[in-house]
Amino acid sequence: MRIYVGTRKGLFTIQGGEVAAASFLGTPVTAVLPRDGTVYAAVGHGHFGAKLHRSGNGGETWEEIAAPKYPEKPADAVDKDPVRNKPVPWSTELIWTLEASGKTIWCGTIPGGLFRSDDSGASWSFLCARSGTGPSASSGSAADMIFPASTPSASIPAMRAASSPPFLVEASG
Amino acid sequence: MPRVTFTGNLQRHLDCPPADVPGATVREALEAVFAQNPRARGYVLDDQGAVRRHVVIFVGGQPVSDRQRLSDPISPGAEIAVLQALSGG
Repeated sequence: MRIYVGTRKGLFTIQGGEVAAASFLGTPVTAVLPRDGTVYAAVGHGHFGAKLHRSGNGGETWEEIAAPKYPEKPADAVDKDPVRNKPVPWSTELIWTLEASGKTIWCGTIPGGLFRSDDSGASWSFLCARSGTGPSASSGSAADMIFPASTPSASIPAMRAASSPPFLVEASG
Repeated sequence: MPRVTFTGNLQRHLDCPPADVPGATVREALEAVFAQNPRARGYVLDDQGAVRRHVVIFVGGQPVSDRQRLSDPISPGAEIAVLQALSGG
C-alpha cells in the first residue's frame, strides 16, 4: 500500500511504513488524488496562487496541468460574503479537495466553487459556487446540484466547512 | 524595449528569465511575456486578470497604480519588476 500525505510542507509518499518519496518540499499541498495510475496534487503557492500537478509514475516526476479558473466577473456584479460582509474574489485562492467518480475528476475550491474535468485535468469546467456567494451558478447552486449515487460526499466540497485543516490523506492499493 | 524581470522566489516554481518585450503599458509588456511563457500568467495574475493580491509590480522602482487593468504607461526603456509582496502576520 502506498499512502500520499499532503502537508503544509510538501507531499510525502509513505510505503512500507517509511517515507519513500517527498515532493513539493516547502510548499503546501492542499489536496491529493490517486486515480487510475495517475496522482494529482494541488499546491498552494500563497503569493502565486493555487496550482495542479499530475504524475504518471507515482510521484517521481510531475507536470503542471490546468488549474480551475473562475469565469470572468461581469462589471456590474456585486458579490459579498454575507458573513464577513467583504467582496468575494472571483478567483481560485485554494484547491480544497479533489475527488473522482468514473472518468470525471471533481475539484472544490476556496472561494467555494465546484469544477469538473473529463480529460484527466487538462481542462476544467466551472459548475457552481456556494449558494449566496461567489459567481452565479451556470447550473444551479451547490445545494441544487444532483450528483451520481456513487459520488462520495467529499465530492461536494463547496459545502464543506471552511474551518477544517486544508490537507488530505489519500491512499491507493 | 521594456525589460521584465521576475523574483527568484517565482523562479523556484517556474522558468521565467528576464524578457525584453514590446509594449506601451504594463499590460502590453506582460502580455508579450505571457505569449512566450503561458504558464507565467497564472502565477502573476488572478482569474480576472488583475495582479494577484500578494504580488507587486514595480516600474522604474515605483509600484504600478492600476493593479486591475495594468494600464500604467511605460517608456521604451522601462524596467518592470514582478515581485512577491510582503504580507502575512
